[in-house]
Amino acid sequence: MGLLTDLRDSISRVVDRLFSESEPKRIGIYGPPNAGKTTLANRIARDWTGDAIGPESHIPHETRRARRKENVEIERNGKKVTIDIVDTPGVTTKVDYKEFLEHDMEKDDAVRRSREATEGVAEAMHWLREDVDGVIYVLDSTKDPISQVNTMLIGIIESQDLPVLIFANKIDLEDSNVERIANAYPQHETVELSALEGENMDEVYAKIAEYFA
Amino acid sequence: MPHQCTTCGKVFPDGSKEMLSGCPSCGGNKFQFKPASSGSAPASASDDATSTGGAGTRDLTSSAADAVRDRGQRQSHLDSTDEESMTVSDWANANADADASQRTETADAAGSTQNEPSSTDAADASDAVDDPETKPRGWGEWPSAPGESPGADPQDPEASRNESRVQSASEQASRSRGPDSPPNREPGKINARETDEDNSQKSARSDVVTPEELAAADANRRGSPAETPSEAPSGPDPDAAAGQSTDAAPTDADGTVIEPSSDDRPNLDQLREELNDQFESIKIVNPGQYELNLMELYDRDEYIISLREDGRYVIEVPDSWGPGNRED
Repeated sequence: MGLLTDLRDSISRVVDRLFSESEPKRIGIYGPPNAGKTTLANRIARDWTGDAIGPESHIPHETRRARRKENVEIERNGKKVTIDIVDTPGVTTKVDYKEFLEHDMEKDDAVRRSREATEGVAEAMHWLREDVDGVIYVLDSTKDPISQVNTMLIGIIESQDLPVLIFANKIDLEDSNVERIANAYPQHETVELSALEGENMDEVYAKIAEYFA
Repeated sequence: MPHQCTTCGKVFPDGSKEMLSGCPSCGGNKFQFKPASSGSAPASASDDATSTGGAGTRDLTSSAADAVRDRGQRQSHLDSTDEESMTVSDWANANADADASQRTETADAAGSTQNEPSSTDAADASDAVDDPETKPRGWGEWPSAPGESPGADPQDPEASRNESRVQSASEQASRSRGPDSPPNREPGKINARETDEDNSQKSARSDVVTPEELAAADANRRGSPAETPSEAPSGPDPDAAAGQSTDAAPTDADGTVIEPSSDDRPNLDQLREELNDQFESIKIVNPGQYELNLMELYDRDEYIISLREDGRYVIEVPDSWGPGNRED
């Protein structure tokens, strides 16, 4: 019996590995604009593949197309997961070119950025519906986490039964308040981090390996 | 002639299901929007849409739209009575199994109200359209697969499967008109608009009306041919815009833009208003200013992904999405 059990476990491991290698989980990084999604995506991608995903900026809606990094292998505490990271445009209910004028942008550029950002939100929502197996929801921990966009998106994610981790980003900033996020969404695990400074990334990777394995 | 495929020229009435799944004739997904007239167009858009099932689908999605608007503290007096207590999860779950093809209707249902888009700054519109960078970007590059599009067949048997939803939504619409408006009335004893609504509901419960029926209904209602839309006061130069668009989207699969003759060019305000009514997932307040209905964007298979103020737009069709197209 012992031999059979061993054989079965061995086959199971091989199958699991084949499955996970042939079909990596697609993890969408979602959140409002300027939460640090691309900074996080770049941090993860650089740590595990050496490449970045896309440009970061303090101007909202820098990411206006979903960007994907495939076959990112993350291993922590004996758990290993291969994921495709999808960095999505920030989701919002209003886009106004005037917001960009404050960042020394010409009107034409601002209007174009606004249009692209709107299309980006549409794309992000479509990805959420069709193409992600799990979600990392990134929030700026210096801001109030209870907003229409956050409530609605997390509600949609829950309705899809997608595994979700909430990342309280920007803990390097003075106004950071992780507890406020944890209290706002107690049904989900909240992990604090600073994607920019690389703080607490060990726990971030451990949770990713645990949740999305 | 509210919508015309820019590839093959096929014409669709307002709220046509066929159009929203890609042109059944050629697979194109670019269309020209041509409001009938300033006076009768809003009413006819509403009526036509409900005739093709818009009443049912509109009310289902409007509950989400209401939630968005209410939470956003925007002005709203919509029929959000029951739906207000609905959570996002409840709503999404309730609709999780719904056939997406039933939500391909875009037009406003009878009795529903929309926030009116603010008037257009003609100069802004001109700026936006004349800007060569405002052309549709990478999304115009997907492969077209019209034959596989769900909902492309107007006789889709799935339509009847969701009859009960349409029915209940119609009842919702009736309720929202107030307690003194019983849902079933004698046609002929009520005013013209209400007659249209009842006809629409009836049609929505059965199936898609034929273009002939629509034409007949329009003729009865209007009694006169539609006026020629007025020239936009200082709108974009159609030739310049056509040149840009042709450069931007040269492939057949993408649909070639046919520039409307200047006589057909609609009033920009009117155009935007009607498009906002029909495609409410993205509301264009002004060039560069948008309001997005996240629930609708999430829920719908199709939506406008690129809109030009001169009446050209691109509808995203579900089968044209593919992960391979989105890698940078």
